[in-house]
Amino acid sequence: MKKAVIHLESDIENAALAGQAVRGICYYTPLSPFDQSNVELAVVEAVTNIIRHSYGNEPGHKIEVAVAVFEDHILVEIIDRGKTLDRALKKRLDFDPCKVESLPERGMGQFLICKVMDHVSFGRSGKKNRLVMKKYFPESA
Amino acid sequence: MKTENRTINGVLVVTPLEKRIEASNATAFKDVFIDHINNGRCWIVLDLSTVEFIDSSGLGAIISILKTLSGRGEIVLCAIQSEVMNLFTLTRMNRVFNICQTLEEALGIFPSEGAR
Repeated sequence: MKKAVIHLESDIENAALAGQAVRGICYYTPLSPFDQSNVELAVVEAVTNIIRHSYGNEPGHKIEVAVAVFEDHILVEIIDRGKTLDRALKKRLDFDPCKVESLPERGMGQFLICKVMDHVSFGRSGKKNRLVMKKYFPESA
Repeated sequence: MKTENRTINGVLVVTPLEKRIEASNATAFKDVFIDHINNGRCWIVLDLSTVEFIDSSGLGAIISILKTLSGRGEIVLCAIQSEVMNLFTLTRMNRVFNICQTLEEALGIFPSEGAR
């Protein structure tokens, strides 16, 4: 198992930095470019949610992104010390494509994380929020 | 957010000059369009040929532009790169937006200037 840890501050521009850094690690795994892109999206969404909601857009707070590469999957663990939020996983995006007024303008991040990753879980331990995401490699790899 | 803006056959063609539309620039991106719409530019092509990454904040901004235009005009998206298209497919927004492969195809969707 190989592991890397990225330390970020709660600046919204760091969401892209985190996503691109994790994608860079994915490049050295059997994940396809398509799946590398999906992992990047999940990390960007997760870090954005933490900055906006756990830390209320306040700068100066810490976020830790740990990436571990196993034989058959990559594991991304994101830890923050912000507010405890409703972490019920949002697995559906409800709207009527024919009704413009029903279209969501926000609240899609968690849905996307669940959609593109193979395993997602949230937990709270002491003052830490912990998001764990896994993406399995293709079986032929 | 820097964009290239052209008018072709009365249609405003906006091409973002940044590779990513995400939480850090989504509001500025949306404001570009809101300014155009408030100035009466309501027939719009969003040329995404230069854009390599959009997150849910960027998508939300594009949805907001669609809602602002509702009943006043139209927005057509074109030249979406495959990884960005994946976002539209995952969220089913490919069923909401008019999406064309090329700018020429997108321009062909609009009624002639006299019919608008």
